[in-house]
Amino acid sequence: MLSRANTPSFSLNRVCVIGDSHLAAVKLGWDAIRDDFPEVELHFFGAPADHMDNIVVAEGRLAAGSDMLRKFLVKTSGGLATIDNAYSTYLICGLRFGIAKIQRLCTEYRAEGHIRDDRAPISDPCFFKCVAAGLRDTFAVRTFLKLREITDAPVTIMHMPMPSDQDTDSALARVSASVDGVLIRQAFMAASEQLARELGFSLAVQPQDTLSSHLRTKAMYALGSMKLVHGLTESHQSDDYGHMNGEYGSLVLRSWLRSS
Amino acid sequence: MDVEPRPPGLRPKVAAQFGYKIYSARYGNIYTARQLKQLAQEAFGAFTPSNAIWEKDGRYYDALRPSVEPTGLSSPEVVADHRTYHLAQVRRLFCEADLLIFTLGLTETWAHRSSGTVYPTAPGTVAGTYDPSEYEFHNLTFQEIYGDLCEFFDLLKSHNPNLRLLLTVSPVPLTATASGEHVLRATVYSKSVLRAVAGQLYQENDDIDYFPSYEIVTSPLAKGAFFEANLRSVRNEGVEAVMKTFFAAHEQDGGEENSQPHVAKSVPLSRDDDVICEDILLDAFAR
Repeated sequence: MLSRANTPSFSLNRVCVIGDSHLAAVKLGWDAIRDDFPEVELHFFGAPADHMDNIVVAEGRLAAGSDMLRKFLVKTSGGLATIDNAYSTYLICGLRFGIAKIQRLCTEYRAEGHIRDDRAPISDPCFFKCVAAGLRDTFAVRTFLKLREITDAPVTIMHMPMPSDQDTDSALARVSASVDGVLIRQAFMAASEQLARELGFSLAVQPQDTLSSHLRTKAMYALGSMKLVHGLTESHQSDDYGHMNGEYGSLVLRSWLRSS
Repeated sequence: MDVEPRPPGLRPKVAAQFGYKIYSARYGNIYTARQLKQLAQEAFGAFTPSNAIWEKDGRYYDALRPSVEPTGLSSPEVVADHRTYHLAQVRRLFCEADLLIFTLGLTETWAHRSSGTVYPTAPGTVAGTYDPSEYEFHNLTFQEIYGDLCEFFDLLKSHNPNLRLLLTVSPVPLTATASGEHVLRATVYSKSVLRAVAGQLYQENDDIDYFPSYEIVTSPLAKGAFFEANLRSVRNEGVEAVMKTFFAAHEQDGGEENSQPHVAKSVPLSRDDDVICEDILLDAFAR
């Protein structure tokens, strides 16, 4: 079940989906389930996150601020170089809005209830402010704010999937496996929801049944994840634990479409 | 050096509210030489403060740096845990620094009667409870401040023989005094004593220097132009004049012009709302 910070019911006739490499899973997922939603059209605009941050507001549209971004937008949308305000809703996927954004915070600092180890201790209020500030400082939120300059239509941010539980060696994996995992997830969700309420977007949360723990995705959803930049024809390396496959994309997208 | 860096994500202004990016460690304002000596002794295991944790509204504060956690911590144990970490970083700072810059701020302090522990704020203001049978006001004398700084520097030199000390005196006048004197007299007493101690130590020690930021800001030559309208806060122009003079004086010692921080442009030090100072907190409580 998809959970959302605020749950307005809105029309999903024409959906504009904007995202980075995580868009690949959503696109593959949509291809698998589109027949179940004949009344819905999804239009995709994708580029690596660094490039997507070059999107600018121009003449009531979002337009590419660089040649490279323009090429990505045209290629992923099937020929469109700009994003207009004619969509009924907008879905922003990834764009650094995820647990990875606070990875350094979680591996170098510990809040009051966390395990007492050699990380620097910080207060719960300070930890929460760091999480909230980290999420606010993402391409996803910046893209949302640019969208707000051209449209009042509903916008949902779908956070990056939690990393695959196949990753057992990274510092974040070790923290996630400890009792800190639940507290970090609570802070992440609370900060995300606070930001959503404050700025006025909806939040699409990863379906519970795709998770193996508070901060981990079941490994099966990372197998065979595809790269956006190579036209969804080339898979990520086996040690890529951050990207998910089309099966994951269909689950998260179906969940969002059904709850909207 | 910054041994307790700002956590990632925290914006500079919020970071300052939590004691980050103000000094080389999160010790908050160290107003007196005794407070400085006490911190060093505690860091090296030679001193244990009394009544070091204060409570307010169910939250707990480090009495020796109450301003670094605006809403306190959840339990005394967490305060102790944070202090243990802080002291380890302070110890590292004192052992690794080449130069320590200390600004003498006040002579007035609040002390625990039986142990002599001093605090940066009066108990019962930011947190804690004021009990006159337990705490007392103390206005440090020349001899006490001189002695405290000598003890402090000797202690640090025993761990870090090459350390040098640069003393300055804060040009910011007192907002209030607990001495019973008029605040003008109390200010002049305080600044005079602090300036005299700094001068004495400079004359007696090759590895202690004095930099006249106090004189630059308060001199009649400045015609009061370096103070804000409240005649207390130092304007950006004053900070810039001080820093420009400092780096100009030390360029010949190998300083590079390009490495000079641009204080006035990047850090609005003199605006009341940007200065992290217990006095500001006290003002807020007084309203």
